Amino acid sequence: MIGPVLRATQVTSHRVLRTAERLSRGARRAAFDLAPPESPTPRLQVWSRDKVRLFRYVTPEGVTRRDAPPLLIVMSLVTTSLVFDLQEHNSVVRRFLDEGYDVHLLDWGVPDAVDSANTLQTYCDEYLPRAVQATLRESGAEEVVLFGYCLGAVLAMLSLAGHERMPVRAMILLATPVDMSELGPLTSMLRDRRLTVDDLLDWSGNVPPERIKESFHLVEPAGEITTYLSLWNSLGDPERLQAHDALVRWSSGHIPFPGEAFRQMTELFIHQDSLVTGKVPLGRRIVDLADITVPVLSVTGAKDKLVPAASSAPLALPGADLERLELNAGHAGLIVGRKAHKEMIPAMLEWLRVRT
Amino acid sequence: MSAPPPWQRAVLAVQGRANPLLRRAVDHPDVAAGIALGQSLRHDVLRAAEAPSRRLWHLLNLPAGSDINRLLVQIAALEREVRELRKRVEDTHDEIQEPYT
Repeated sequence: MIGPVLRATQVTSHRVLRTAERLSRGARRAAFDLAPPESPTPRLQVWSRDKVRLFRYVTPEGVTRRDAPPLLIVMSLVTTSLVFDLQEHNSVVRRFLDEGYDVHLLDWGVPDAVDSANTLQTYCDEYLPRAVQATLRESGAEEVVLFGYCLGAVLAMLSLAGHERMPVRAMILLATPVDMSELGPLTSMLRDRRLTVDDLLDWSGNVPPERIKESFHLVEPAGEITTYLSLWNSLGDPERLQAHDALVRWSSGHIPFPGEAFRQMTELFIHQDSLVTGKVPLGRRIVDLADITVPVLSVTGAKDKLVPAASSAPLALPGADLERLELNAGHAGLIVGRKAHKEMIPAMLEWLRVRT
Repeated sequence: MSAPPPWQRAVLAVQGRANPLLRRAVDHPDVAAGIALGQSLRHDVLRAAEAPSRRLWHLLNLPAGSDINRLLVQIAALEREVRELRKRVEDTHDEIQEPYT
């Protein structure tokens, strides 16, 4: 009789202690900034233009660099590039470095009023080709591998299609938004002209981060609950808490979206569906996605709510050797977390190994 | 990894059911119209409130927020022009052409 009572008391006291520990860790977290450091992998800035910076990551000691083209990571315009290098043990950059790749990251910076006039041409015709040139100069290589994430994949694709002579060996596109009607309520409202671009711009001429965050909340209205549950579970373990904080800091750290680029994307990608047709008017020319002739891997996440696999599905690159890979992951889960390191990244590395 | 405790499973189950319902509601034409109207209204209200509040600050001989924003926009336009000129000079100096065109 006493045995079960003792066990129950033990279990209850253990739970009470765990809860007290979680609460105390939560209080400390709220009171002090316990966020992990940004970009734990050492890197050097090797090129810049306006707010755009190109970083080259330092190859870890003991790793022999592979005889392969350098990797140029191209970030989206919606958030910062922290996601590629969240923590030492949760870093896609570190993973590629450990495999011997020479990794470069193109960081667009945080736009302000000066950048509100940036258009798609600014990114695809001015910054990206120069960043490729700088990567080649820095690495001594003759070709690069483009690695685009989310809207960064669209920018990489347009830049390559618009510059046929750009020396690119292969391209990896992650969560590429192509059919914008699949992206959720904000794009639907813009498509139906219930909302105009001007309704979303602030005084600086950019779409403020709060509007972007709101539009993501509309995609998954009860999504915050998962974040709080994850926080509660992480409070029991300092390492998990750091991982949680790093991810939340990135996923909630939206940046202003350049207004002119947003206006242009609304017209071209939402109203004209030009990414679906594959012909995108940029400046005085029409960029044809059929001009991409390098091997392309398009990776989508079956659980991705922000850029659902259905949005990437119409991607057609008739001139390229296009391979599609759907993984059981969400938007960030493609490159962040235990599963990404166990399944997603190895799949990309294997594809890359064969092509380079 | 251990399974989540029953209360978390319950919360997740509720969330799993609530999300598609809420999403369907958000996607409903009337709700979407309401959200869009809210966004436009916010924009219009801010613009409408700007004029009287500016007059009030001007009565106190102080600049209003919109005056400062206007100045910042002008400075940004100027900075943009300087930036373009600087880039043109740098590119000419370094004999850099548009790459890969």
